[in-house]
Amino acid sequence: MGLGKNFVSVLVLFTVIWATFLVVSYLIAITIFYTLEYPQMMSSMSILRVIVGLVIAGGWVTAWYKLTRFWLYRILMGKKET
Amino acid sequence: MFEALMTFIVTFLTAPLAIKLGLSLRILGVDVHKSWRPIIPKTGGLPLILGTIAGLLLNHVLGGGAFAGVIALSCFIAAIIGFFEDFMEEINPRLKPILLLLPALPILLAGAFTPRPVIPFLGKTRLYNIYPILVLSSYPIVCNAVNSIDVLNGSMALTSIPFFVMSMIIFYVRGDYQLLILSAIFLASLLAFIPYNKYPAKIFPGNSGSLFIGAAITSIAIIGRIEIASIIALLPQIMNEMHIIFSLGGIRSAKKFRVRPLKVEDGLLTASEESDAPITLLRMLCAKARVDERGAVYALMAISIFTSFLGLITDLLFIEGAL
Repeated sequence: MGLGKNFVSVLVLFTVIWATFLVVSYLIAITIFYTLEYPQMMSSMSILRVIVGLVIAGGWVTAWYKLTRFWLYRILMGKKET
Repeated sequence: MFEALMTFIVTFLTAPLAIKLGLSLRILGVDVHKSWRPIIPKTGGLPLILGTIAGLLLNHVLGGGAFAGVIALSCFIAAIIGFFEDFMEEINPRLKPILLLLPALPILLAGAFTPRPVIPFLGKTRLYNIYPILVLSSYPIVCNAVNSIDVLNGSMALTSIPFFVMSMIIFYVRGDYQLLILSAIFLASLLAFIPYNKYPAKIFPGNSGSLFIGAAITSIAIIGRIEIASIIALLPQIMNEMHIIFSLGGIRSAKKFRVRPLKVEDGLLTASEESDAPITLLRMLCAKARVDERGAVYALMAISIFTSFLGLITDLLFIEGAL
């Protein structure tokens, strides 16, 4: 692959990250941020919302890293092992 | 816009002096991506700072708002941390993020933030408790992210310029001319710096320059209420930093890389194929390719233009209407 193909491939990766970021920012806002700003809800529900939000945020970061690894090794380098 | 012109002139005229100063005081770095490994002064933070201060002072004289002083102080604190690294020694990588909390203090103490960011699909939120924590944590993340992309001649400046152009368009659309001028001042300093920092570089921005610009980006994002657009525009820098941290298994010095992400063969860059080499944006661009340094820098800049465009359309579609 040349620089041009790598460049286009990286742009596709950033488009995927952008789209997922919009969704994840919404999900974090309605779980973690909402719960921490409005703590008058039932405590068990608040804890559950924060846990769900943290799982979503952590999952997204991990997925981003795994996707980038996949992009580099499988798509750009054509290796089987990632 | 006299402020931006003043910034450009001062940065452009002081850069040669900074080169001489760096050579005479032996504040030098090795350009590792060239086969002949030239020794280059890393005092580029000085002209960036001097030019920007000149522009901000003129802005104050011309009756600009109070934000100029707050942003200047925040950036200056970040630059001092960078100067220590440029002139003395590398700060412990675990201590550095803690020190980089300090540039947030002027913004927090002056109350120069609005804790009501707009989230796409949700609208305006009220984050009175969390927002100050987010402000505090944003400086180490963005400053280190901007620093992490400063790997090739001109790469820090050319990947930061799209952010400032994006912010200027947003402030123009919003009619916020004070923030537009502040963004233009930083843009002008980077534009004036490029002739000296582009391939083959005569000067490096150093950590002082990259942390200074990182703090400027963060301050403008917070004060200008363009948080979401800024995160999107900075995705290349953030991804680069995040993957380096993941690859190293924690916050460690980049000098601890066992395997470098790139190799230089016949003056061309090529990606390391070893699986334990750190994942960087540049390594992705150079995968299975032999890339000339200039081409790699232009590709990095084009990626930043693309993500800044995504940030711009996100802001115009989801944010501006809800502010």
